[in-house]
Amino acid sequence: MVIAESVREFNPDLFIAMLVIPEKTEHEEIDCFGPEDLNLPDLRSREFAYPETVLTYALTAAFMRLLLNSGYATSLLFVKQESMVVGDLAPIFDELEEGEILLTPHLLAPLGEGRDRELNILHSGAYNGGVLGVTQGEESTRFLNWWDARLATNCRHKVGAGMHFEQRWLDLVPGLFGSVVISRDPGFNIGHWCLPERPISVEGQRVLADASPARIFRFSGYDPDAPEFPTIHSDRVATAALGDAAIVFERYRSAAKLARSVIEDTASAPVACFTNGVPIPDAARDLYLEVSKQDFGDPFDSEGPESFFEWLKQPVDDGTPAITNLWHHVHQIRTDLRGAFRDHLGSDREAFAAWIVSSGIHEHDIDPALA
Amino acid sequence: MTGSSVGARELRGGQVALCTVTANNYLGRACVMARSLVDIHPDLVPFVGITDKGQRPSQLDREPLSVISLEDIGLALNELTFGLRREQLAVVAKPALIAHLLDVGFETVVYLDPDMLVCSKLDSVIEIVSESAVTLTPHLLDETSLESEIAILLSGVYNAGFVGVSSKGRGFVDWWLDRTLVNPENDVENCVYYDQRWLDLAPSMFEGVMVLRDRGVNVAYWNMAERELDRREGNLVAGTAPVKILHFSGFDLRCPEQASVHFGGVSADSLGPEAKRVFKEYAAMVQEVDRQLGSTDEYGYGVFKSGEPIPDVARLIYRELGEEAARFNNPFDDTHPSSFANWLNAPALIDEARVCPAITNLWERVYRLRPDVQAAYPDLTGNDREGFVAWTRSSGLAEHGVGEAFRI
Repeated sequence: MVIAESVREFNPDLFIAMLVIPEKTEHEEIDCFGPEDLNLPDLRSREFAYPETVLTYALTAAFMRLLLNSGYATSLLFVKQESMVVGDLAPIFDELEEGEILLTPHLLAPLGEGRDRELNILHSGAYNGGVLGVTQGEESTRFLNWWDARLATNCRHKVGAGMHFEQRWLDLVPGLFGSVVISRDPGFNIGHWCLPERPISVEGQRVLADASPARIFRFSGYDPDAPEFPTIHSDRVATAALGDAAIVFERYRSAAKLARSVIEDTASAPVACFTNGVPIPDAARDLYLEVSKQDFGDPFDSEGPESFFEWLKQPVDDGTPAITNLWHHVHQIRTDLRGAFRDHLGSDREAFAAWIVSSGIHEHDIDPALA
Repeated sequence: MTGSSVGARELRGGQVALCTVTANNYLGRACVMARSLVDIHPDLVPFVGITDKGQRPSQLDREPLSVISLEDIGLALNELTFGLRREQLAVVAKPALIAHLLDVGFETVVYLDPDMLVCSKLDSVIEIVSESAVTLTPHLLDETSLESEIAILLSGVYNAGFVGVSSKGRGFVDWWLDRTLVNPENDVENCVYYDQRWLDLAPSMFEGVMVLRDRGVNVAYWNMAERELDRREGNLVAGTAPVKILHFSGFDLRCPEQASVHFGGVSADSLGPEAKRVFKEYAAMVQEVDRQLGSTDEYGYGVFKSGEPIPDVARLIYRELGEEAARFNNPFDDTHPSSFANWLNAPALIDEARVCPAITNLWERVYRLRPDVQAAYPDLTGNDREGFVAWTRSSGLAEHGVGEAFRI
């Protein structure tokens, strides 16, 4: 909503399309789409595997592809939720015309003493997934197909394994595809990661970033109810220490609050469940991605011996007491458990089984039906 | 052509310098690279930074290359020659050599790894390098398997075996050297892979960075599956692109049937018949030059004065001591009582019990490196002392490449 209204202010002629999950809601000024419009054969798998916010990341490429392929637009700028347009977007589209794919980096200059912050960027990705342009063409088509294929099962936060949701995949793009423009315009994508190094000045409605007109501000991790810091991801710098950027954050806060008061507060998403009503634990989502090559049919469906639900309960080996696939996976992903129960299928089996009953089911919110 | 230092001759030859860096173990490869380059570009005699010490083979004077020593590039410092392992010192010397060549007046510098082979004219590449501030080659130019892409995301999008820099890219070189110097390590979980991962940031952070997508440049095992080697009218091609530079990264001469020892071994067979032939021919070329040079795998900075090998953990400890390390004067000298080597064998501060055998400074650091050992022997200076000491003898010495001189 905030994005749409801010776009209208500077670019009244642009079409605005929005993907809404879990299902589309109509809006008079925005063209709304829902997941079912994407024609993804594996939509159910993605809905199962990813929590709500991550699902929006995992559908980004498919949504952009739909808009290009359907002829909705020939030139497209993706702007992620938690953003606000603060200037004319035409120059971004102009730069996009130089290629088929436009990337906006987090950092445009070395950080001097900030080696650790550069490492953080290497963790999460050189290019920000919040502002991304594509125009119709062979390279952009190949890019979106490839990106979507990766996001289907690997839109994951596993930085030690080279993944940061949808974003780190973008690092490969300048190598894998032609016609890539790496924009170095300081006004295209401004967020907490480049503040306060990129000086912001506000003159009335005009916002400048490093003396260039600012176009898009990003507010990832900004909580309008806790505005002291620009992001919950770091307490490196307080909002008040950002100079004029603080004014932009305050404008966003007001706009976001206003938008919230207009939209009927939708209740927070219901807890996702299997068809038998058993809540899906996070560990099961994670495990589903690990074994994504196996065909379980609809992963929500708990009926039948071939279901993912049944598979989770199956013992991982013949030993007793039985350790199920689910608990075996919990052991794999927890360093502390691997240390405490080194031989969890052998000599530490009884102890690990006891831990499952005494602590595991609570720590992982596992329903008795899966315990 | 002789192995002299940078002189007027090279500067007259043009404003373009080709260079590489190697320790003595890869000197044969560097000579093969130099010969292949000069065969095609007689004016481009490469500069070879040697990150090693000891007698240089007399044959080197007859090779088409100019030797640059660590002294020439200001790296002959104990904190580097002792503080870093062989591969780390070479990694640090790379940006330092590029900076040096720019500073002495070259306007365009192309760094090639010593295990590369120039196969055809580089004019188009040099032109791009000279017009850009920095030129980088991505490992991958084509979509490939999930596993390969993740491996590349972890180790770096751009291969640090080829780096082109013009005078416009001088700031990049300083930054790259600065970042690399802190921790030239293989620590991919923490986003460090020697000098390589930093390059991921270069196209954003510096003006004029060229991502060179020439399928004939930096052809290596990680991209050969997507651009199979072949011969067309006698010329080597990768896919359809004429091969300009091949890269034999991780290639072990002793097993030429393996294209690389990286990623648990990549068989040359799997890369196609022409690749198999190329790997075999390259092995023969290097072996012949190694024979002429009398090459050795010995590392001049690899041993103390007494001849005792320097364990990696000793280098780490020395580096971590920072300025404090100066009190040992020459850390390589282990022949006097106040030597660094003796200090490594002294009881660690945490070991106040003064019980025999003491946990030494060296083994205390090893202990901190190993969470698994800590878990097995949690009470290092108490109940688990004996167990840990036994572990150092039965496993620790071998696992950490520590010699008898440091046995507890």
